[in-house]
Amino acid sequence: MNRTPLRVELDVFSGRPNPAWQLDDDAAAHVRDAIASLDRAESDRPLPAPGLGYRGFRVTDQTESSFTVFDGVVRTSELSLADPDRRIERLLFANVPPEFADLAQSLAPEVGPADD
Amino acid sequence: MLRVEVDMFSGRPNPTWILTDATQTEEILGAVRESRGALAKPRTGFGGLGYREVLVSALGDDQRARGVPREFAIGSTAAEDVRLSVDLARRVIETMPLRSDVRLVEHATTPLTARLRETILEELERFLRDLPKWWPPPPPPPPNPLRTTVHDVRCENCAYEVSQFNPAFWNTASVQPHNNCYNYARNWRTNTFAQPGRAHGAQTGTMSCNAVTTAAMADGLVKRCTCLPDSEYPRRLMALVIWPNVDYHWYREQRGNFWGHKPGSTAARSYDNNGALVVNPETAARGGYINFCGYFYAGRSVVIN
Repeated sequence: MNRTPLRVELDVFSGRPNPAWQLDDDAAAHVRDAIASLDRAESDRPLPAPGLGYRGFRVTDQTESSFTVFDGVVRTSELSLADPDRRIERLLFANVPPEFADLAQSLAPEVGPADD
Repeated sequence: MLRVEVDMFSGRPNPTWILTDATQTEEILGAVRESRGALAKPRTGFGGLGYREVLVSALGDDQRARGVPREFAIGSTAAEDVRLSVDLARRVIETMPLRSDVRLVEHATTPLTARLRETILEELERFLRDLPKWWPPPPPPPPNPLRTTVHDVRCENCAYEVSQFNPAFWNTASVQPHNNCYNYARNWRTNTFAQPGRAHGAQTGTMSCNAVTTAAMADGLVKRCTCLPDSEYPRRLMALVIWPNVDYHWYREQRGNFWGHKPGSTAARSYDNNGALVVNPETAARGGYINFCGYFYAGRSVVIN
């Protein structure tokens, strides 16, 4: 299991720099595992460009390769993975550090309630 | 007869008189003929506050002294030989009558007195000692096909520039992630994700209209209808909105009656959160940025970082 940390950026601001933090090794492993279980999306067509407000997460690893998570799609430079239940976004919201908790709480409804 | 006007006042009428004495007139014209390097085209020299030049003109359209222009300036920085020009001006000023035969309207507010003559001569000496160096004014900017000057429909006499919408400039891998809404609206790619006030030690962490307005004005923005001079060309019209206690956002008016913006590190665009062209930032779909704070001009001297 890859246990190296991940840098997570919550893409939400327009003027200020986005909130960003490091996921610890365990949480990063959970995210990687969850992504590994996803199937390829039916279409690789780009989502409509989101505007002002919540635009998902940008996650970067130590090799500077990155992926974005938004609206039920995990997208790398090569492929798109389907996450119809938005589990990855929910997982990332669950690991927001305390200093951004209020902001995260106000944005969490954007991904909707869990289906369990 | 000659009309003499010492161009030096801003509010009051300039000291003006008619030189009626035929002998004096001939002497002056004779000196002018011998001092061609002292003459300048009127209003082409120093044009700032204080003494500027002495304007001499003929009074009738049939009056023409041989070898002398019908109207000319002396004591002017535009003359080929400024010192000679000032010498000639001094001579003309000394002809100022203290009791003029010809009463002009100007004399009611600017009467010809010995004190005034003394003041003019003092100003002329000061002018010669410390010749203004910044004249002529800088040439007007070359026409830019991507920019148009418009008059502000909401403010009398104010003008600003609107640019062709050019998102390709911003939406590249080396530019887009490092420039935000403030960069876009000011139209300055700093690659620093510029923050209002940061360039001037006035950045704020308070996300309110008042706080961000104060920070931006420290960078040199002015509220709309505080007209910027032509020297501030190009001048942008920007609009500020606030997501209360969370973030701020800026728009810039483009040529064609719509607005461009760049949400954070995303692509520059001309549409709002509903996908509609932004024709009015006050009513555009703006997500959580619910407070509309107002409009600002940003001239060329606005520095951001």
